[in-house]
Amino acid sequence: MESLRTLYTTLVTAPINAMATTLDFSTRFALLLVAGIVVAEAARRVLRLPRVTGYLLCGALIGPSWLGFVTPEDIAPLHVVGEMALGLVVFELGSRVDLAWLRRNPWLLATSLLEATITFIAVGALLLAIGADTAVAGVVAAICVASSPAVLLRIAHELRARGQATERAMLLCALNAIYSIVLLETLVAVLHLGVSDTMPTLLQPVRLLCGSLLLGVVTALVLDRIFRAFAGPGADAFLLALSVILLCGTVAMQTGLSTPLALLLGGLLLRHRSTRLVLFPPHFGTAGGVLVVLLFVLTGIRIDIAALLAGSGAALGVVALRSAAKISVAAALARPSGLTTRKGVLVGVALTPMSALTLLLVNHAPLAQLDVAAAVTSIVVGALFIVEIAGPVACALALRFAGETTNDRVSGTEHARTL
Amino acid sequence: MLEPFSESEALSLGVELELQLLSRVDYDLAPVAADLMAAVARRKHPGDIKPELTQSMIEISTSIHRSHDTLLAELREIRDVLCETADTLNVAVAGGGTHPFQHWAERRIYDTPRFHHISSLYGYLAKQFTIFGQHIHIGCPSPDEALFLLHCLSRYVPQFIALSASSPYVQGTDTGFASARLNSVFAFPLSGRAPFVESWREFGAYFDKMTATGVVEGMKDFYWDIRPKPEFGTIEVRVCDTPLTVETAADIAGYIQALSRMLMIERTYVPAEDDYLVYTFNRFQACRFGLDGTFVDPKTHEHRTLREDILVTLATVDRHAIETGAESACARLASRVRDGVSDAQWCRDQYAELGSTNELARAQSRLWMRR
Repeated sequence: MESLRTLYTTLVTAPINAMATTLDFSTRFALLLVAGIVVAEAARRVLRLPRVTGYLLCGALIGPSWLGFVTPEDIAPLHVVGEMALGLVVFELGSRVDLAWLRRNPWLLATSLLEATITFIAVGALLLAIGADTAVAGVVAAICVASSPAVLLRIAHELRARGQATERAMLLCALNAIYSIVLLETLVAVLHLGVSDTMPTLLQPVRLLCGSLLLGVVTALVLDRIFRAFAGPGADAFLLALSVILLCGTVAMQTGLSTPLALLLGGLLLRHRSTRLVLFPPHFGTAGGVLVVLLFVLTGIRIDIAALLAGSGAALGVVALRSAAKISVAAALARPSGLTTRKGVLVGVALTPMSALTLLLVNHAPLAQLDVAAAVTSIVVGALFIVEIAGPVACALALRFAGETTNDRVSGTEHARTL
Repeated sequence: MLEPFSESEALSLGVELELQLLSRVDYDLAPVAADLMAAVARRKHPGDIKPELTQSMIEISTSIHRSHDTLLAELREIRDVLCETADTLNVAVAGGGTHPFQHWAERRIYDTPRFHHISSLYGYLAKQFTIFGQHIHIGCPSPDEALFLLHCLSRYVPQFIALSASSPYVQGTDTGFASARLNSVFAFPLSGRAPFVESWREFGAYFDKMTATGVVEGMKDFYWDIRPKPEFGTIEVRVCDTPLTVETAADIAGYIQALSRMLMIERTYVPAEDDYLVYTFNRFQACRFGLDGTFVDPKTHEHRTLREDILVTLATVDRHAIETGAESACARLASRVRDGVSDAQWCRDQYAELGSTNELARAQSRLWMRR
């Protein structure tokens, strides 16, 4: 056994590692992309898994947990691309979500607020109960409020899902991302206050939130102008829009603002303010699609089996309680908000994935400077390991059971059965 | 065996409207009928709200009325309940005979055995059948009278098509037709007109022969332009597109009711087999050109535009419209016809102004929902 491992290391791992250190940025980018797409296609055909799971599995496979071809250090130069891709995804989510729906159906706002609150309280209380530090419990709970915009959007595109469960999950997902970022910023600032006790740290979240909002507003206004100038959507307008969105992401990164928050708000405001329909092709077309695939592969590489094993008990508990909180609130408020309880459960299930956004939050710089960072990372990354693999499958099944996916092969067999 | 013809009050009136359910994201058809049905079931409303063949259609139907006014009031009430419920689901509701850009392959069949049977029998035709019509029921005192009225009204079918036409766009393009919806209906093997028989006994014989062939099981399998509905004791005019507003839908129903009164009382029009020689030509002209289409009079063989033919008929129906309370309805239709206003033209104008079929679908839903 040991000799086999040595043989494997000398024949496979070592040459690849040697090669990997000499690879430049664009080669890494391209190789990850090819690997992600090939593995995802195989996973879809052989195991019938959603492509998202395939991308993530590919990352996990070549990452440090299994084959170890790529280490998190290797992909460090690609982090900018990952954050941009996430920004693109949350912008797209925002531009699909209709805030006016909250006015038409106030029960949805109630669902959203309650879902986030119960998740925060449940996860926090669990961690306190098993003896975690108050700070750790608070920070992990805040991170757990967010669902996965990337997974939900990707699955909805892949299955061409449409309907109440899909639209509601998207609305709730966009909102809980905002809550989570705001909560985390505030908590981290308060924790910093305990350490450094200076005014600037307290002003930091205010600066970040207001700055991101302002950036989002500017982006929305510019895009609205562009669409008006181009007299409606079209290939050139999309390309220009994509560039503006990426520019906004860059500005956010350079000025220390939150890329996902700025772009999510930008998307929401564009949709809300525009008098014309805001219609983007999925992921803004092929160019955006490439970034999204890379985002998932990068996220997969950061999956850490060691972290899961270290904090396995806590991670399992967090995942279970977080899922239970989201599903039970969505189910309980389904009927007053005009949905069947069954579909309410499915909306809750679609909110259970955590992914790239969670990873971004946990690696947030001001958080990393705190001494609770290690404990938080261990629990959250452990939880991510579970939800990354199971989340997309659960989300896909939820939308299928809701009867909102278009899949001709499936409906064809259904018809044959009724004959 | 043909079911017996139920009794109904002569000239009583009822309307069914098939409606489009749209996503507010891009205004494509959205598979939300089941969710909307569940939500609407908790609210009190007059008439009936039912699912239709695919998940993105819903049908509203009124109770039985004697006049246009009460019919319109009920239609408005049902519309308001439906639209308020749709709002809580962030779904848009729209009239119009076709959806301007839907792709048929993406439609999902509503989950009932009958709809799945239709789907497996007709294949893609069933999904392409995601079209939206208005059905108008006129009560008849006897089955023979029903067949008389059916053949008389056949002469006016092109008028009904032109008045209601609201489906110029199909799958994202202008078809050039005022009512492209009916092209989808004609694809069905049992569409067209009822056979020329004048008594219920003969009709029963025809029906028995057809069922003996195993081609049909019941009246539901005939997709005729006008068909008797023995269960209700009515004839059902099925050629109309769903108009863009309930007001136009009620006006057309009021006109057909007044026209039926004239045909049943004055008996100046005597239907004949040969009337049907020009039937498909006239019907095509109405679908293609709407009010500008050519109408060939089956009795005199005179050619005139449908616009002229409608205005002449509206003038002769006048006295009966007063009797049935459809006076104002007929006046509104007359002024629309005179001014060349039609739902099909409205769609084309909106498209020219807004530049996309998505925006057109949104405009249609705003008109229907009065938002």
